[in-house]
Amino acid sequence: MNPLNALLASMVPVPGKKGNDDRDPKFEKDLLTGLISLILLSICASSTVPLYGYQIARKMEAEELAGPRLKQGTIYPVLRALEKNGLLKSQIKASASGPPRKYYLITEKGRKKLEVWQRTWWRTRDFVDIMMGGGHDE
Amino acid sequence: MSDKTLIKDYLKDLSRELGDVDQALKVEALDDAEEFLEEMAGEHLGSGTAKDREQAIRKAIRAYGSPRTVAREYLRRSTEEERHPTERMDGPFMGVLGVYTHKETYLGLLYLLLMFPLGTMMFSYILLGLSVGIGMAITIIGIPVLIFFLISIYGISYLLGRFTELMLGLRMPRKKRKMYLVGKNWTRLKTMLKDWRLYSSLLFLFLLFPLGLVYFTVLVTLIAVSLTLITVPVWLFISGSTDISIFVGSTFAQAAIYTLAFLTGLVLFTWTLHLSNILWYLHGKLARSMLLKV
Repeated sequence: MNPLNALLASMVPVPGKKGNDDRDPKFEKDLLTGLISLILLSICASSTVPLYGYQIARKMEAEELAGPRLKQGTIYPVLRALEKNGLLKSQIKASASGPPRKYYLITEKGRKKLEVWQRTWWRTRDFVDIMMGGGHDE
Repeated sequence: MSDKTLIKDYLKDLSRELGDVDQALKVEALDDAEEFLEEMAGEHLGSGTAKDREQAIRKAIRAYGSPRTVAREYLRRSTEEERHPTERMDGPFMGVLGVYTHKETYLGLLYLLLMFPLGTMMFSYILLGLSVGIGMAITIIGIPVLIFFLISIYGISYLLGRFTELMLGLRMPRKKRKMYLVGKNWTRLKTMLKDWRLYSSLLFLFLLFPLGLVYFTVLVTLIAVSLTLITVPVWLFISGSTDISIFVGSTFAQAAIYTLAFLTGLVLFTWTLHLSNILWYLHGKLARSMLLKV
């Protein structure tokens, strides 16, 4: 390796301390930015009881290996935004252990929106598969 | 370092990273962070030493994300007015003719005019509530009356705060999660009565009467005068008389007078809208500083 290449190589950050090369955190983050609303709305839709932020975060964490890694603090502002747009509603209830909790429940408007988002997602997923040459054999 | 200090430090950093945003947004962000950190640490609280707890908190903070990452996410998901509250507050001071094109002008004017009937009602209600409550405090009935009265003031203040947000577009300050009325009735009552803003709300609702009276008198007078001036030519046209006795002889003088009246009316009307904008802006700020946090 010539000195210039060696210098350049030393400047490139190593992805992940454990040398986990099959994950690209920046790419994952970019992808998630658009999808996080869909994911959170789906989690709320699949629950019959209202969930508070920490529970929702835990549900995502449980699937962390399959899914992308994200800082859990970034889901709270999305929940707030979904509520402001009327897709979720919330209720404050006392907690035995800590400060009162904010419980989120999906609204009728949220369910309708979720259907649209899901269809959009499936279409996009198929499109990406096709572009990558896999997926559909039509 | 104790775990409480760790959480406090984190919240302080988050607050700093959020910078000069809307106070309501800041309270929301800090509440969310506190909920997560306390919940996650709470799972480990029962088990182990102080050192374990500290480690649990550090783990929770790592999972939550750095203050900068989290703050950035809040800013990105927030509305324009939450991100730049100071710019939003300059809203009423728009260009000279800009007042006509902003819906805030009309909503604000309507809001100010409504303060008069509302203020009158509140004035009577507060006088009645206080005099009955305090007057009968010596008997057993007075105290429940007073408490019931304060609960109603709490409700009215909350509704007025929401209404003010809706009409003026100024966000009222948000209360921290700890100030929410949750738990047993007795705890709720204590939380409510301990909030100094309940009493400043009471004062604000009382002040609505003189303030509303002034707003109403000034604005209605100015609007009436300017509309009259603007419509002078119309009135004369409708009445079929093109002749005002004091201007006999000169149709040119008459035309000049009509035009002058019309123009003066327009200027006065525009000026009135500006005045109303300044008034609702100041009134909104006063409401923000005195009404209950919503």
